Amino acid sequence: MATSARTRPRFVAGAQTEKDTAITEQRPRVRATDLLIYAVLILAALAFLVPFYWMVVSSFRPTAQFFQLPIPLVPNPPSLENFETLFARSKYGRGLLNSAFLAIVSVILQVWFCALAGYTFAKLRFRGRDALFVGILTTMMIPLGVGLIPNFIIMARIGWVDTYRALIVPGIANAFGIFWMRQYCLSVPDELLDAARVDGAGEFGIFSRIVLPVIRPALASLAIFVFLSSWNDFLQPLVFLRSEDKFTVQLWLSIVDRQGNMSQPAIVMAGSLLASIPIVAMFAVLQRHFIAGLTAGSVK
Amino acid sequence: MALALPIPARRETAHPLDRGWRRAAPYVFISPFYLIFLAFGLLPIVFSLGVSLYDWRGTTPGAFVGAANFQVLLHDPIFYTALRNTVFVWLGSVPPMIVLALVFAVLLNSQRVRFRSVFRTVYFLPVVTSLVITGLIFKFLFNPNFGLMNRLLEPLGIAPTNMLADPTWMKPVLILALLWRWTGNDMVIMLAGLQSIPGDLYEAARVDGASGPQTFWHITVPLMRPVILFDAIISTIGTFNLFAEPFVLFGQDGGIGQAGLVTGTLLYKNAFVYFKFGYGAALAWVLALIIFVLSMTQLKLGSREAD
Amino acid sequence: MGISRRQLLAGSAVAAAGALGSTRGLTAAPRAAAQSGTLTVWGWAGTYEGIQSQIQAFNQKHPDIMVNVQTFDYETVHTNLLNAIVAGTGAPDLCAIDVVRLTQYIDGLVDLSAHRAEYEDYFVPPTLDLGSYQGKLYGLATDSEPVGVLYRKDIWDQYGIAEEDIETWADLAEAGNKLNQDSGGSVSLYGMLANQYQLYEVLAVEQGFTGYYFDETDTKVIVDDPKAIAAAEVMKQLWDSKGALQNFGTDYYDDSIVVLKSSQAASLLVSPAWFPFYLTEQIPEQSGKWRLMRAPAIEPGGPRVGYQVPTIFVMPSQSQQQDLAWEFEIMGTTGDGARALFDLTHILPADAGLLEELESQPDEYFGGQKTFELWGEIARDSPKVFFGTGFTEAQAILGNHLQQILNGEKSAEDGMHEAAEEMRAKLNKS
Repeated sequence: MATSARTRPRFVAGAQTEKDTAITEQRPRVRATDLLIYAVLILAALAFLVPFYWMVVSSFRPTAQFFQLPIPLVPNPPSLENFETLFARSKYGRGLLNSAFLAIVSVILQVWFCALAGYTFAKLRFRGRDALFVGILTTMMIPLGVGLIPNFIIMARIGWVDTYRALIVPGIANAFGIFWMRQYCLSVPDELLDAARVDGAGEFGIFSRIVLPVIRPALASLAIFVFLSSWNDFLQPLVFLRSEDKFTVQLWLSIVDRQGNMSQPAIVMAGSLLASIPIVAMFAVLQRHFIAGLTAGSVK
Repeated sequence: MALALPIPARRETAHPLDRGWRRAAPYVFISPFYLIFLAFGLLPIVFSLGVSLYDWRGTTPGAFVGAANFQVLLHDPIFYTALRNTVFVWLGSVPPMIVLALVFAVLLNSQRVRFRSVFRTVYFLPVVTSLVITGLIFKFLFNPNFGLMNRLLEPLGIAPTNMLADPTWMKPVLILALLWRWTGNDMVIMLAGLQSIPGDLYEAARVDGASGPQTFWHITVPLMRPVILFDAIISTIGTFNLFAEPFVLFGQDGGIGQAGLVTGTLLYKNAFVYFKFGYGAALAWVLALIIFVLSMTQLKLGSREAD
Repeated sequence: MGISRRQLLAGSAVAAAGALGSTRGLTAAPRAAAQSGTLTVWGWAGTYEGIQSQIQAFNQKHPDIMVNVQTFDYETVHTNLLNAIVAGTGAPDLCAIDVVRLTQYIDGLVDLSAHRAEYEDYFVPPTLDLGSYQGKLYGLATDSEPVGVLYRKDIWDQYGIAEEDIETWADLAEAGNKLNQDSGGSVSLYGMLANQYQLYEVLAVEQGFTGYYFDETDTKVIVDDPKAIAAAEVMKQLWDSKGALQNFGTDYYDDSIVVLKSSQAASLLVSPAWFPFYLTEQIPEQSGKWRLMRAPAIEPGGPRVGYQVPTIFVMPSQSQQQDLAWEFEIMGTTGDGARALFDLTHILPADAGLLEELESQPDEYFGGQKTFELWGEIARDSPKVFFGTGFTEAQAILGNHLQQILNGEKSAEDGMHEAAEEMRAKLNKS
């Protein structure tokens, strides 16, 4: 439906892909409301950025200057001291690799199984469906720390202490992931699925070839959430890991933080900065996957 | 959401195996999830249900005390302080965050706005930081001696105070930290949700002459209901489990006047510092009940209105 | 799991010195029986380095034993040790813990009392007492933590405050008023937090409460004892002084660095022996201006002491190498091991011999004062403190009620009575 850019309504979601938009959109005169919107967005951006910026600056200042006022725009003198101390006191490089490995594997497994199960709860009818789903939901409401010690006892008994299995496998049963997938799958049109069944497609085929492409935004966003939560997790690695070679980034940060009796915030800041980079990069790349309008495509 | 597709009459699938598979498929699809869930999710929880009935301190299971832990808990003024604080934080952070996230998502999804992906990345930056770092950042931001906040407030004529040690300001600071840290997260959820709304609806609205805000209220929000509900529920759960940020900001006792003590910190303290597992388990159960009630209420309210 | 690469951290020179053979603290182990296996040690930064430095010396005597030092952070070590004891498997042979948490693990630890008589003189008092509970020895401390007051001599001189004139806490509060007046409010004498149980603990020790919050049998709560109430009243006096910088932060030690660096405060009320090193690291520009003095007394002529909470190494009973673990523990906390730890952390050693050596050294940061001598005196004058069950919770409860007392919401008497009642209810004590 070709309409001139001038008359296209402002709040259009998913109507066209970003690429189309860039080509066809012409810049009309700027309206006052546009300025207001930009003002708000920029203010918000500053609010989100400033604390982050302080973290960046503090990481590149000499360690002893951490508490010193005023906080400069550019570190003076710029120093890699914090990073040097970080790498001297820990196996941080290895930690980054370990965290990445754990996160990627978790993403693949969790997104797959949660999508499959979430879709099932949303669109397939079977006995006990609602009861089973509510059961999962309610366990989400139990505070996390509660199961930690029994979990450790189980892991100790099956010999999974100090393995990555202990970190990856339990995570597959991610109640949030299922909840998210199920909510999102509710919006997949039933007619789509019925048509496919009529055409003779098997249940698994329907899921993999029809549903998955349609729920791409949910998959991409879940991937990001799972990656983040695995990357930032420190409670599980803390309890289950023993070998330094297996330690994750967050574990190392907590170790270098305490030297005897005092904390070392400058070094932790530097380490966190390093740890943030992969995720920010991932997000910048992945974001188009949960923005591009896709349901429009399925209608054709 | 009517689609202009002809739906032919359903053909009965002749193959019995096919029918059997269609019936079994759901169970097969959810079984990997469910098996793991039973082993590593449910089992530990059931165990801790039992623990709440014992006086378990440290390494020894202790004696069976029945409901004693619950009784002490429900008479403990500290528990109610933590509860009040948590509810305050919930009210101050969850509704505003949902609104902000939805507005940002809509704005950053609209072709009218340029540099959308840059804005989205910037808004997501705080989410990337770990919870401990968030706590540290705000702890230093509001430090009375060298924090940025006081520097900003000085020209406005507000004397530098230690907001982190002032019971009036501690929770607002925490709320600010939470809004900073989590809005981007909710925004991503909303963004994904917006993609499920078909474009022709907006086209139809435009043709009918609806304005931006009208479209927002009558199309976007109702269709986003499952997603908004999801967000509301997990934010509620998150708030009651909140531990890392307040722990870093105020310490394990919740700071001056325990104004910064939230239920998550209380649970952590009892379970992992005092090693009072019986008491901690009882606390966890009471919290779970509260969260359950709140979530069910939200679910009921959310699904009551029909389109 | 081989020998940890962190050996490099402690300095190869020290390891070489250790290789010459530490003669102190070792009973001759029979070389005939070649023992093999692994010795696992857990600790966090600043605790295990003494043991680390002794690995080479240890291996000279026991070449077939692999020593594995694992480092976590403070919270993790405590959680993991508990998990291991509860699960019945995976505990290390030696583990560093905070002494206040000792009673949480007692059922799973080895009673080391048999060794006590032999090593009594190796340690500065009251090290062996605080590592014990109800007469049984469970662990050796890596450091000694007497408490004193640090002050900026230049600022005190400037405003006419003399150490000799300060005998009681009341004197200090008075001096604070004067300082505030003379300086027009620009300088405070000391900073205080409303929930500062660390200060209360100093006063409690001065009042003779070896259990801080509990009696010697660890069955009664004593915070509503008249002497404890008197201690709370002293705190109120200090709080009300105009020279007090109230609620200057949230973390007493971290935030003190900030106010001391900017010279906003002229003294540190509660300085354990491990703190001065951080001063030298964080505020090098004030070198030469600081002095150490004993904590003031509550009554004129009363005790002027204080003692905080060291780290101790305990031995889980799961250990299959208990004799070797003991040997290693002694090597790590005395002699060359103690020296290696001191060189790295500059924390006051618990090893009596090393402390004696250090006592004659003038401390440059403290204008040449022989601070180690004074620390040693305070330590030796300290009563036999111990840490009972529910200690951390008692600290928190007291801190909460202390706030209300200092803010004037309650009288000291009421506040301490309520604190005592809450402790009795929650800690299973009378």
